Amino acid sequence: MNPIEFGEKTRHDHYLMDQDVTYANHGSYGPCPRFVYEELQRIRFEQEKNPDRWFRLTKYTLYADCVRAAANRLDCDFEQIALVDNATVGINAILKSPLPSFTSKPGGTVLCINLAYGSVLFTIEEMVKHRNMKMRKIDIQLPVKSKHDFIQQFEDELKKGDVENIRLAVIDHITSSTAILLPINELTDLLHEHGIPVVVDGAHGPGQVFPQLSLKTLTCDFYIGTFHKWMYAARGCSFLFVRDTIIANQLQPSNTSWGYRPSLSQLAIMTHFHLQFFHQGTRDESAFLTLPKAIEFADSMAGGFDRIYQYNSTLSQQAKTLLEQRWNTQEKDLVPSDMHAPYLKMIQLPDLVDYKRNDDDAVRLINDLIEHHKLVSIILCVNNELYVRIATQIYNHIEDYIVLADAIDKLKK
Amino acid sequence: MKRLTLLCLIICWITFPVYPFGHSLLPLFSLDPSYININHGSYGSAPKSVHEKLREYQLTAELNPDRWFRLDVQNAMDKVRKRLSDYVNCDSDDLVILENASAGINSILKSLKFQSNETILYYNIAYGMVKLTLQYVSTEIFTQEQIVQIELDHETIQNTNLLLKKTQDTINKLKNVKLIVFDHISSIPAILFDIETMIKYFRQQGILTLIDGAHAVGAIQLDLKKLDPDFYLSNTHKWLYNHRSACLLYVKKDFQKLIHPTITSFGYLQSFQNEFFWLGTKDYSSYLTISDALDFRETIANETDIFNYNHQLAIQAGNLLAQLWNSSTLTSNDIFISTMNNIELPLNIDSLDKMNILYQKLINQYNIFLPMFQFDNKFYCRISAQIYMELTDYQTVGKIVLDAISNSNFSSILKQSKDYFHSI
Repeated sequence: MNPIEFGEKTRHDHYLMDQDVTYANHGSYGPCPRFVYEELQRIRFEQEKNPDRWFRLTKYTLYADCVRAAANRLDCDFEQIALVDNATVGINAILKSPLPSFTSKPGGTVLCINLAYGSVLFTIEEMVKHRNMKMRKIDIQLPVKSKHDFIQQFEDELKKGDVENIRLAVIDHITSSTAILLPINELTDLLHEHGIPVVVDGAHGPGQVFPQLSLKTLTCDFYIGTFHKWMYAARGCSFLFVRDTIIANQLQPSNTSWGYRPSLSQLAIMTHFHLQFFHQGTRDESAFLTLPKAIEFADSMAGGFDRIYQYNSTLSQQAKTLLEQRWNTQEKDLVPSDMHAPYLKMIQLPDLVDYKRNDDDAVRLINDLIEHHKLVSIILCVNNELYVRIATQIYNHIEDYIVLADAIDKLKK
Repeated sequence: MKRLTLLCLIICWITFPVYPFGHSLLPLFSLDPSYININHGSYGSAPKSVHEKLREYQLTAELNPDRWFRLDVQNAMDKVRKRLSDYVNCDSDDLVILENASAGINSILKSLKFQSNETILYYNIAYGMVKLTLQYVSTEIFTQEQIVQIELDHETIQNTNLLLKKTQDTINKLKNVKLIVFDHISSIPAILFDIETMIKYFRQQGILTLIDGAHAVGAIQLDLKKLDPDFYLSNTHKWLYNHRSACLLYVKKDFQKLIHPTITSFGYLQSFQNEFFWLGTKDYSSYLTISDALDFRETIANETDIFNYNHQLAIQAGNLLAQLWNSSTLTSNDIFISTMNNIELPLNIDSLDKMNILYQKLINQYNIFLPMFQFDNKFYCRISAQIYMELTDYQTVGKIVLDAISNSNFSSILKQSKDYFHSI
């Protein structure tokens, strides 16, 4: 079967977004292709025929199959990975669990960076309150001229001392509001030298990083990732990876439910770790179960990761160059090119008439572009400048970013 | 005379439901027509019209996900919340919609702070997930001694005075009870409690009430202003007909500052409503179908007729099965019966192993899912009534059970029994 033709044809044939809207922000909600959406509907319908059979029997074997598919795709063991709704669920579980590093001694700190995702910082704030711990936030200064400089900022923070009290570090694989690809291996090694376990918030990692994500070859202790952003699964399909399976089975989901004490027959097909996160009472788990079709879409219909990567990363760079030239905002990069996310790029906006350089106006601009210009994008305020974070997916083509350029030009001073 | 006859006819026309209840309603639902669903209570079932709306909401989200999540979904949910609050008679600011009862129970139990000498009470018939959560908090947040179970039996479960007397004995012994968790309609056994009386009783002693009303909304009249609980939750997908899953959580205004969702996200420190709304990227479509479920009900009949049909059918079905099996229903007092009933299994079923074997056999050979449980040394099953069910369905199932028993070789108990029945 010939793979699909990327760009306009894919947008038209394989995606559900309103054809009138220019979609330049795949990163936030990752709309899934029609192929996967139809599978979601089929699964939902299947549930209805005999709900008891579905909820008591069928869904368990299907979930185990999906976990196997996930482990296979991400190169890890079945026992190390569980499917969860979204990254928020994953990070809440890790931070709020009675991990040995939290319970072995009272007090301590959680290390994080200022560039972390907003709700992750909130979760850390909330969790340290309950455990009488403190948040230790590294204030990464941007722009950074080299990867070495970035790592240096971490080293400088650790040199300040009190490292024995750091119980856990949380770093991003690719940051959300600044689209930075962090050197997670170097940082993990650095943190491990000081005996600090590492959580990687990889919401944007799977399906985007090159080479393809292999959890075995990484060294972090925990990895939270999504399948619904860059791996074509339906919204509500993400994962939690825990390298040490003993710790995996000690993790507590935020909501205690039936999985807390699973039955023997359930444990015959998956581990306690899986059941804790899966058996959360009656709810619609259909999104998890779209993973096999999502993988099929990527591998067969889209022609495989390499083909996708080639298209998305090339288009991403082209779009960035185009926009910078149009707006004359070259050389405003926050990080060097080897730290640019492959499919997400930050381009500084030109001065705008009605929008000031702050968070509130960034949000106002997002909403105005959606409402008045039929354009979906994400605007962020970094270092008191407004940036657009563009995303490229197989349904995008260069014209999408020309539309963006034109729309912003209309708002220019 | 003619005018009187005409008036009677008009009154009859107004009071009769638009649709007759029973099998004629089955085509409105998506159940496999060959499947006899005598267990509607566990997972609920939504009509096709609600599923059509579900797909509409999902497609709207797909048309422009950014627009949906940034601009539209919270407004759409506010409308649903208002409508649901009107239905259960409470202030819409006091109600949030969550994924399910697990999320509701966990939010309350993991938010409340107690001193080390303060205790939480619950009953032996509490739902399994509630007990597991209590077990969790007794090890991770509180201590074992702080969480105390009260045993109810055949007598106390169907006599509010005796129940309260039994509870008071424990309260007197402990002297520092701060919270009591109890069911509006318990799961196994399925009993409807007089929670209005119970809430008043406990409030007089300054004890907070957390009511698990999972089976209530849509099955019985629910008036939260009248009941006045401190914390109340109910699954709308069980008896209200929206798509799985959704749960309303009511928190009395005085306590909203104390109660937080177990998942921290963008609503952090903003408000009770925002904290419970933003819980990570999710599909809100099933919540939105609550409105459509209420619309559906209006096309079927008025609320009282829906409640009454299910209530009467549960009673009649219970009596029919008891007669067929030469056993009895757990209670014969109608005020303790909602839309489900508990019937003692035939005499041959006199052990947990035999009960398990029968349970599995009914699934594997007859495609019947009949929840079974042991209570106060007797073995029961639980049936659910529903607007698409008729008495003949319970007759059929009753005979199947007898058939299954007569065909069962109970000596082969050595096989490891699948204990899925725990999760009802």
